[in-house]
Amino acid sequence: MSETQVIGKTPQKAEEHPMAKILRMDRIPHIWCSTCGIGTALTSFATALEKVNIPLDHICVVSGIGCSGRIAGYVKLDSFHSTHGRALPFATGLKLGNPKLKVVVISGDGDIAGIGGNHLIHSARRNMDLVVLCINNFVYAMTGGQTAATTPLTAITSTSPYGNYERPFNLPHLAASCGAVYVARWTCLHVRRLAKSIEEAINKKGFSFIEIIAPCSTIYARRNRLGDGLDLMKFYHDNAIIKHGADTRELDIGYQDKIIVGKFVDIERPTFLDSLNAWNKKVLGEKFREYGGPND
Amino acid sequence: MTGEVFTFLIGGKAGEGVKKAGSVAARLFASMGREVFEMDDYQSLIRGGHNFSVISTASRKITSHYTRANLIVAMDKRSYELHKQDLGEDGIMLYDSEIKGDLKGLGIPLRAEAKKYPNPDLRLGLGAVTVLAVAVGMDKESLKKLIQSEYPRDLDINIAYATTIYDMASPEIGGKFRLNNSDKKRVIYSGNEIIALGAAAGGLDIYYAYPMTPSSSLMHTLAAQGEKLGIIVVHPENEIAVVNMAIGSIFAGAKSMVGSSGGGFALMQEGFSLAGMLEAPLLCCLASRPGPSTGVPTYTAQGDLNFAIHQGHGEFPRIVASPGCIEEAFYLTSEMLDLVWRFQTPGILLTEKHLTESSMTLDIHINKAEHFQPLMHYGGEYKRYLDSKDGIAPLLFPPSDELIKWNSYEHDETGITTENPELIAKMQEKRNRKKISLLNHLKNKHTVNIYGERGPLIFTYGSTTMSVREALRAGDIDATVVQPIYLEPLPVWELEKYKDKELIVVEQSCAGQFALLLKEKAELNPGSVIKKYDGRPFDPVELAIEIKKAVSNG
Repeated sequence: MSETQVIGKTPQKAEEHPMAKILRMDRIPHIWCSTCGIGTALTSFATALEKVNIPLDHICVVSGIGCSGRIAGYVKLDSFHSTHGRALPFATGLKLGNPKLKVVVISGDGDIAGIGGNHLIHSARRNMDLVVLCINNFVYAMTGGQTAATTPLTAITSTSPYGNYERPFNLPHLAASCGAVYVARWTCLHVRRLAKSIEEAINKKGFSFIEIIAPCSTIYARRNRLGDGLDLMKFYHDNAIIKHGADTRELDIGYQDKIIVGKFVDIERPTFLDSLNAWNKKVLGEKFREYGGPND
Repeated sequence: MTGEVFTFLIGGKAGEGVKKAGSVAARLFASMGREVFEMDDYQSLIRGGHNFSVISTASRKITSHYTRANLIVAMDKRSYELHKQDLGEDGIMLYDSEIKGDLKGLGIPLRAEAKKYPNPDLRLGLGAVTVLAVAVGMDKESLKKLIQSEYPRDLDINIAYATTIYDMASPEIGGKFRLNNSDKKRVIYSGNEIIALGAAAGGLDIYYAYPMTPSSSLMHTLAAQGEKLGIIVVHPENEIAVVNMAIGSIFAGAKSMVGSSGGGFALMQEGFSLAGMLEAPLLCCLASRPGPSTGVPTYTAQGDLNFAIHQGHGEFPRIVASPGCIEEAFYLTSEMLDLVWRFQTPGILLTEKHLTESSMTLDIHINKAEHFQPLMHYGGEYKRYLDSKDGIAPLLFPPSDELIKWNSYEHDETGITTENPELIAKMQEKRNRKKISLLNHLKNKHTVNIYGERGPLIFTYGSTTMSVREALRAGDIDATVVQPIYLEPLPVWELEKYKDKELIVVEQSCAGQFALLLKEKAELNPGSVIKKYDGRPFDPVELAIEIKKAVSNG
C-alpha cells in the first residue's frame, strides 16, 4: 500500500476519534455492510465502557462466529474469537479461570440462540457472571441468509423461499425463564438507551442478557423487500414500543409487527461462584478456602 | 508360577455391596504386605445386574487379575452358575445357603444371618469379606479393626454379624490358605484415582467433565478430593461446553483438564481442533470402552487409538500417550500436563476401562512428577502468535496492559483474522515447527518401556501391557516386551532397531489398530497379532498360551 499523498496545504492534526480508546483504529474500515446494525451496537458498547468504572485491561470480549463475531478483532481489549456457538462456555471458563475479569459476550442470534442455545439456557440457569449482547438480525447473514431460530413467521430467507413456518424464539423470555438477572431488548435506533442498558448490565453481577434488534439490509431486508437502511430505522421508530417491566411472555416478534423494547428484568440472585463459595463455606466451615480463581 | 498367586472372586447382584467388598478384600491383602491387583466387572444396569470383583494377590509384583480363583463367594445363583467354571484345583466355592439346587461347595447362611438385622442387603458384602478373612487365617481382633475402618456405619451390628459368620465358617475353612506376609505396606489406587493425583501433582487448577463411564470416576475423585488438592470440578451441560470452558480457563492462565470416553470425546472434536488453532495447552483424558457409539459402557477396549491420534480437523501437532500400568499413569499425567504447556498444543492421555477402574498396589514418589512453568511474555509489544524459531510463542494472561487476542480463524502474529496466503502459510509452518520442537524434546525423554532382555519380541501398549507382563510370569515365558508410551508422535527413533525383527503384537482391538500403526509409522512387521475384543481384559494364563502358540508359529 502506498502512503496517502496530501496535496495542497498541510492538514491540521485530526482530532482523535471518540472511540479510539476502545477500537483498534488500525483495523478500520471494518468489514460490515453499510447500514448494518452491528457497528451501532459496538458504538453503544464503547460508550458504555467509558461510563463504567472498570479498568479496560479487566474487560475481556468473547465472540462466536458470524457477522457479530468479528467484533472481537476490532476492540482494543483482550478478546477471544471462539468457534460457532461456543462463546458462552468459553466465557464461563474464562470467568472461572480468573473471576476478577469482566467478561462480555458479543455475538449473533444464530451463534447464541441457535447452535449455542443449550449453552445459553445453562449459563442463565447457573447465573454465571457474564454480560451477553445478542445482536439479532433475524437471519444467518454471514453464511447466506438462512432461516434462524429468531426468524419471524412468514419472513423469506434463502432456506424458506416461501416464508418461514418455524416458530421463532422469544429471546428475553427464554433468558428470563432460565434465570437471567438482567434482561433487556433494544433496537439499533435506541443507541443512547442501549448504551445505558449495556452500562447497567456491566455493573450488574450475574447473567445479564440484552437482545439488540439489528437491521440487515443486505440479506434479510432485501429478500423481504423491506427497503434500505433508513427505511428499517423508520420502521423501528414507528413500531418499537418502550415498555419497561413488560411481561416477557408477551415479547414475541411477529413479521413486520410491533417490537416491544425496554428493560424487563432486573433482579438479584446469587451467581454461580457466590453459590459455590457460600454453600461450601456452610458445609465445610472454616477449612474452606473461598474460590477466587487458581492464582488467588 | 501361578502357584504363588492367590485369587479371590466375589459375585452378586448390583446393590449387594460386591464392589465395596472387592475393594476391602484388596486392602486386606495389601495390609498383609502383599501386592494386589483388583478388577471390577459390572454391567450398565441400574439394578440387579451381575457384578463381580476379582482380586489377585502375590508376594511378588502382580499386574493382572487371574480368572482361575482359589476362593469364590457367590451371593446368588447366577454368580454360582457363571463362576463355578472359574474355580481352580483345590479351590473353595462358598455360596449363600439360600441358593437352591445341586451345588458343589460350602453353603454359608450369609443372607439368613443378615436378615436378623435391618437392611440385610448392606451386610452381605461384609459376610463375604469375613469368610475371606477366615480362609486366610485372619484373627478376630484384626477383622474387627478392618470392620471399624471399612464398615463403620452400624458398627455394632456389623461386628455382631461378622462374628457369627466367622464362627460358622472357621471350623470348615479356617486358615485353609496360608499366604506369605511382609512388612512392605503399599497404597492401593485405581487408575482414575491415580490420574487425579498425577494431575494435581502437575499443577491442575480446574477439571471439566460430563459423566461418561469409564471416565466418570476421575471426576468423582477430583470432586471429592478437590478441596484438599486445590482443584475445582465443573460439570456443565455437555462435552461441547466442557472443552470450550476448559479452553476459556486456559486463556485466563488456569491449568485445565477435561475427561470423557468415546462418544463424549467425539463431541469435543471441534474444541480439540480449536485448541490446536489457538495453541491452547489442553489436556484430555480419554478412557476407552468398546464402541462404536454407546457400545458397551462398563467394559474395556483399545478401539480408540486411531480416534485419539486423528482427533480434530485440520493440521496441528498433538500429543497422545498411554500409560502401561496404573503407577505409570500418575507420572504420565503430570508429564502430559508439562508437555501440553511446554508446546502449547492439545494432548490426550489415552486409557482404557481396564486401567481407569482397576486398582493395584503402588509406590508413588510425588517429587518425580513434572510441573512446568509456562514460557511467559515479559515487557514490550505482545504477539500471541509470535513467529518464533521453535514455533512457541510466550504466553500472557489478562489482565494486562498489552492486547491479548486468541482467534479460531487463521490469524496473524497478533491474533487478528487473516486470509492472506503468505500469512496462512506462515502460521501453518509455525504450528508445524512446534511438532519438530516436540520431537526433539521427546528424543531426550523416556518414551518407550522395555521389559526383558531376550526371547521373542512382544509389542503392546496401554493397559494391555499389564496383561502381557503378567502372562509372561504366568506362563514362565522369557520374552522382551516393548511398550511405546507415546503413540503420537510415535517414537520411531526408539523402534528402528526392531525393523527386521520378528514380532508379536498384543492389543484389544478387532482391527488391530496398534499393529497397523507400527507398520505404517515405524515400518515394523508384526508377524502375529493377538487380539481380544469382547470387552473383557486378557486372562494372563490364557494369554500365555496364546503367546506360546504365536512364538512356536513364528
